[in-house]
Amino acid sequence: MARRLKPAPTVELGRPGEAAGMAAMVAELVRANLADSPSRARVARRARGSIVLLADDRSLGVTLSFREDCVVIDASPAPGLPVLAGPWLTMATVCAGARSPLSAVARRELHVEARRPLRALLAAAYVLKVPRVAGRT
Amino acid sequence: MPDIYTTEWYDSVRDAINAGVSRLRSVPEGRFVVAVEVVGDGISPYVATDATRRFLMEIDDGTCLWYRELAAHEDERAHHEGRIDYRFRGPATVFDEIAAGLLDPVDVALRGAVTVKGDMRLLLRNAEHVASLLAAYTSAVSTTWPLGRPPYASDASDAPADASSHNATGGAGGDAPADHREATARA
Repeated sequence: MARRLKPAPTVELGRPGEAAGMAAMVAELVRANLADSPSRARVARRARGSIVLLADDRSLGVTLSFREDCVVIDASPAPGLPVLAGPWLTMATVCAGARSPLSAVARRELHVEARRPLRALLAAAYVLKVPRVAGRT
Repeated sequence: MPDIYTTEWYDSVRDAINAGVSRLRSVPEGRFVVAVEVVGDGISPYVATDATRRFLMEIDDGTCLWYRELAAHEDERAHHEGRIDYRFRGPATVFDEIAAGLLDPVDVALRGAVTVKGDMRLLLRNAEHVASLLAAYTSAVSTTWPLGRPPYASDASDAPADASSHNATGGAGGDAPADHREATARA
């Protein structure tokens, strides 16, 4: 008997804030990725924790939180969380899968600030990355 | 120098976009139609309160083929039968200030003052191209402002102190007729 796939977690906008547009874009990106990629949906369902995505050249950031059955995007950076930071243009191309986050970090175009294990950060990097089959190139 | 929102101005924006695109390392393949909706906010003199000015442009392999304004009740499908790939919508004063070089369009989008609808994945993937399009709109066209140049009297306090240096058309509000400045102040 075929296993029933659990539905992808929902993606919701959380607390309002200065980066309302960035939060809406990231939410739309994650929503589309989870709909297209069962493996990303699985990772999002299992992951717990929060990270901050910071466009440091704009001083704007959002908080992405993995919760039970949903991913929440707040329109401001919450303090004390792991941070993936860099210029907006680099952040955008990495999020959209046009560039590898590891190579961007290795080239110091993006940097990670975290004291704790990076499970939420790794989950976010995977969930944000556009699956190869999706969209036009 | 063309007046804002005239055919000559749209042509200049299109030419500026295409000049900018020619300098990019890569451009997105395919054809995209973009709609821009500039909503009257009672401050900008270029859009009546509660009215909306609508523009369409078509991009093909990174090049802007055409850029035009729609009449008040004109159907978008009169110009384009397929779907609109991206839709930008925001208050007229924000768009005016972007065109005058007072606001950074990327900042405006990230802060949500202008909303963006469409395939975010494609938009983010082509962020460099989008930045080039917006730069053309912002700084590559010398624009004249027959009804007064932003920042307008009622939002002048929000404008950066060196606003006039960003635009080729003179000082902040300097070319606004006195009666118009008064009208916008009342608004």
